[in-house]
Amino acid sequence: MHLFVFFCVALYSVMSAVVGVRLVLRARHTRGLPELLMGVAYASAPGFGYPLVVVGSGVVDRTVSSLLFGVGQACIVFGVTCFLFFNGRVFRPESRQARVAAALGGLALGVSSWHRVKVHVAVGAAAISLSSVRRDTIVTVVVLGLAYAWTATEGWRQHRMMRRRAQIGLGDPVVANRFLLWAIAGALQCVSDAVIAFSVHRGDNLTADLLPLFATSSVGAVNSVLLVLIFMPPAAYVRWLSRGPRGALAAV
Amino acid sequence: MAGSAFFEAICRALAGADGMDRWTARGTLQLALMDAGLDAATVNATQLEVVIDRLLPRQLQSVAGMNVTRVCAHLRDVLAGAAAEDAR
Repeated sequence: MHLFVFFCVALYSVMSAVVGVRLVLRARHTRGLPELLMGVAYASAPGFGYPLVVVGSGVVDRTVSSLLFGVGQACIVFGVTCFLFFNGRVFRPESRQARVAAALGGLALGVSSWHRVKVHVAVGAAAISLSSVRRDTIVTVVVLGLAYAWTATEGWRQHRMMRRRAQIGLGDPVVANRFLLWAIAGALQCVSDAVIAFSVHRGDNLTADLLPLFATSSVGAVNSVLLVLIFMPPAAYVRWLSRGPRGALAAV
Repeated sequence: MAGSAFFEAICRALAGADGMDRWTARGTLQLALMDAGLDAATVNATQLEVVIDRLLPRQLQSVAGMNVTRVCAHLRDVLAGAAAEDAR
């Protein structure tokens, strides 16, 4: 089971890093803020931050462990904050509340991660079982869950609007499909977060017990595929989506 | 919430039609935009043209005393004028 979990999570991290770096490179040409925010979000949090935290937790040398864990946590906070601001910028560009919500989410995540790093430096990897660290984990999971719920809701709303546009000959079926996949990815992450929150509440070990491991790994594996279809869709998939007015509607 | 310049231009033109007032025109146009999956704040001239051709006539059919074909033709002219103004 642990090998399967490792494979799925590693796959998600690698795909996130690849997609993130590609988006950042694209942003250099387009000078677009959304692709920059999303690229940094994917590269920073699941791409580099999460593996650094995992490796940092397993390293015996305390100084190296603390350094890797701290850098990893900083990457995760920065990445998720970019993700929150991406949601605000793309889906609610005129909304001040959206920017404030993104900033508050980033702040809550930053404070809980800072505390987690301090405890890790003091106690080491065993800190994960301390009640104060569990509280930080719940804060992190709640912020992530809200961010993904926001993504899923906005993605679904945009998808429905795109479908209506397609019915009168407006809109792009590929973009409509992208919003649908985006909504599915967000919803799956919400489910994974809910399972993790439940496990933390129950006192499970997140790195050893079956339920949280299965939630994290299976969602990671599915979302790896979704990332490819959203950001690097194969030509055959795009052709299938665009194969004609009726076919396009059926596909999205 | 304020609509795009094109939306506002069409609202004003529609409000002057028989059986319409400002609020009815705005609401009717917003319903048509909802059916089309479009947003009043960001809708552009091309999208509005499709809405006027494909969806608005259906919304206006129930308005007593209105010549829907003539009103829609007028709206298309207004939209073309607004688009030309915007292009300058």
